[in-house]
Amino acid sequence: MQKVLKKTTGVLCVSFAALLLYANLRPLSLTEQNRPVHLKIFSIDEPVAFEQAATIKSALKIPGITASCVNAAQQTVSVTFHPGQIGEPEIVQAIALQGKLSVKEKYFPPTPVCPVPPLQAMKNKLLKSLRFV
Amino acid sequence: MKKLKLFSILSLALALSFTACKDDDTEISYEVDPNSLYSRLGGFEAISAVTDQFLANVAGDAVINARFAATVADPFRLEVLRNNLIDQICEGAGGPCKYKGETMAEAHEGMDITQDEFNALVGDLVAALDQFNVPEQEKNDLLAILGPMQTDIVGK
Ligand code: HEM
Repeated sequence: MQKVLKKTTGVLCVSFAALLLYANLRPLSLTEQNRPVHLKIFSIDEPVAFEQAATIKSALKIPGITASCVNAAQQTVSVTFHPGQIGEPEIVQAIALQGKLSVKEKYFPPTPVCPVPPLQAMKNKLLKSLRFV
Repeated sequence: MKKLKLFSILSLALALSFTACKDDDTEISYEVDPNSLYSRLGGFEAISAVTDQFLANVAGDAVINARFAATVADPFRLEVLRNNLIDQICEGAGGPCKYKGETMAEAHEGMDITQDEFNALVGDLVAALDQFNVPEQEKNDLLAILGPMQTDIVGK
């Protein structure tokens, strides 16, 4: 019994070490080297005029934000950004036009989509957590 | 000591066998044709920027954004979708990328996507291309690559 346990531990250790080396040695593709972005959708509490939408769009042209979309009719603003470079409070402040509008993150009611993250996302998560740089 | 040595050799061998495998993460390296759609679109950076705008447009599109609620909520899931979209456009346009995701039929199976939803998504892509002033010719060339995927996406 102890022998089996020892062997299993050995195999697990070797596998982990191999995974660690693989995560750190494998060549990254162009897209994997691309800085990741987060995507957030914000909602504005009051109606948004057309000119105001354009002002919000300009206010979001700041470092760290890679793209934005202001939907005046839906009163939503969606933003892609580099999380290491800009934080949500700064984005909310920019959308709020320095306090003129009331902004909060938009949550969707549960929809019939698959809640299980695809395998590729889980694999990336694991490999990223094992990378030293 | 002997055990440690054996352990190191074994793990190195295993890791090397992993990395040596020509897995789907390996880029295909070849010279990019300067006349390819990839080059005409402005290369990798430009495709990445258009993809981000496309994702922002989709997230702001009330017709389809609920479909992507789970993706928006999970940064790793979003990264997979973003990277797969960039790779798909980059490879389709003749660039040095390799699409590693599921086939369009597999990825959209069971979603029962309607024609209206498909049109909405294409509209979001066109709006992203327009925002970057992509010329008509390049826009049509890209849509000609993605358009035929409709049969694998709608009503599945
Ligand atoms: C030409 C049109 C389209 C293209 C090129 C496209 C492309 C893709 C790609 C590359 C993926 C990722 C596959 C993977 O992870 O292996 C994907 C997933 C997905 N697509 Fe599409 N798609 C299109 C149309 C649509 C439409 C019209 C909808 C719905 C309105 C839609 C909803 C989704 C959803 C919900 C996912 C899963 C995202 C996730 O798992 O996080 N797609 N699509």
